[in-house]
Amino acid sequence: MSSCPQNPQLQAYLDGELGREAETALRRHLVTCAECASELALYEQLFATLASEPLLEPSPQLTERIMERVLPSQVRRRWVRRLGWGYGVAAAGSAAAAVALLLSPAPRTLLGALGVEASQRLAQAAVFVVNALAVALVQLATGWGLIEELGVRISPLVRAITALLSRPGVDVTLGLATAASVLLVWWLRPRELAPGRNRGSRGIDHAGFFAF
Amino acid sequence: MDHDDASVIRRCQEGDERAYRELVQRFQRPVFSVAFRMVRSSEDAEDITQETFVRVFRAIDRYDPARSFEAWLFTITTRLCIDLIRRRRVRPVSLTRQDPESGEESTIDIEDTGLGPDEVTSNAEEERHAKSLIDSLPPHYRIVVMLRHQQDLSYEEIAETLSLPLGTVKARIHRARAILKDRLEGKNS
Repeated sequence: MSSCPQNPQLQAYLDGELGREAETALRRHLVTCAECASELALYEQLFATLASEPLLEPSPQLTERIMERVLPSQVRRRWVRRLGWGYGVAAAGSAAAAVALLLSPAPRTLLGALGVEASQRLAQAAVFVVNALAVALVQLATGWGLIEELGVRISPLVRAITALLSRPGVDVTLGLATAASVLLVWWLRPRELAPGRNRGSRGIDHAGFFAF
Repeated sequence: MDHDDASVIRRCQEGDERAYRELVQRFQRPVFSVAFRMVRSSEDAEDITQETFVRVFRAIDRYDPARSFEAWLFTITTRLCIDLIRRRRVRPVSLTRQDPESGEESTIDIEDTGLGPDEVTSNAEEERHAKSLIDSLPPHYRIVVMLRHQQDLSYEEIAETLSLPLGTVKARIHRARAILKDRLEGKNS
């Protein structure tokens, strides 16, 4: 340890932390004090040595290891992968539990009863929904005046048909036309062909064609 | 922090993934060097380096550019190093005792007698394996010398990094240099 009172200022001098006046005074002192000059030379050597200490090299894989952990896209991908695995494990666990449940006899009976009950409830629910929809539709149509409107539109046609049917001879004509149609359909009925007769020469062979 | 560093950090804050790589490549060697010189294990130093960057990027949006990035970075690194050193020193002890009358078990509160970050001292094994001047220093001197002379941090930044008073930092650096100067003198002679 140096005994010179100026010695503690040497490091501050090298750090550039001395004021201008103190720095000038120390420089003057260094000219006359061999001990401080020698210490200063050692400190300068030390500073140079420390500055030349190389930075240490990590392994070449470190950058990629870090990027894997920090890049937002990688982080997202990792979370998606984790979620996928979690979902897969949960699904497999559920499937295994369901299979185990189905394979044991007591739960199978219970599940069967539950299935029947569920089917009945489902059918009842479907009927209820259809009924509710139909009632709602009718009420809606009534509310909008659709039913009355339809009656108003159809009534002239109904009156015309009624008037037509009330004329003499119309009922007889309609009855004859119906009978003729029935006879025609009967004549066109499907029949077995007589031996030696060609199907092509018969022409119409099915009442469905007449209907068409 | 130079202009380029500020630009890279700003791009990181905007989510540019190329900037992430750039920032890691710029600072991984200094961080690894500090960590290695503190924990003396390459594997642990790499883990600390990785964790440092994970924490940096997790909080990069909250980073205030008015503050020193290096001070923030090395704060995280040194805290991780100190945590690891503390964990290495932990010895298992029983934390329960039984009351002789009631037979009830109760927890014993034990004061943490482990050395704090300010009190971490070197051990003989480390000293024997010391390869460089810096490595020959006790850890609480080693860290301040590294931050000052290898990472070019100012006294104020070192104080911020280590959460120490400025006077303590200056005193430690001066003391550490005096020790190293004496060793250098011994080598020279």
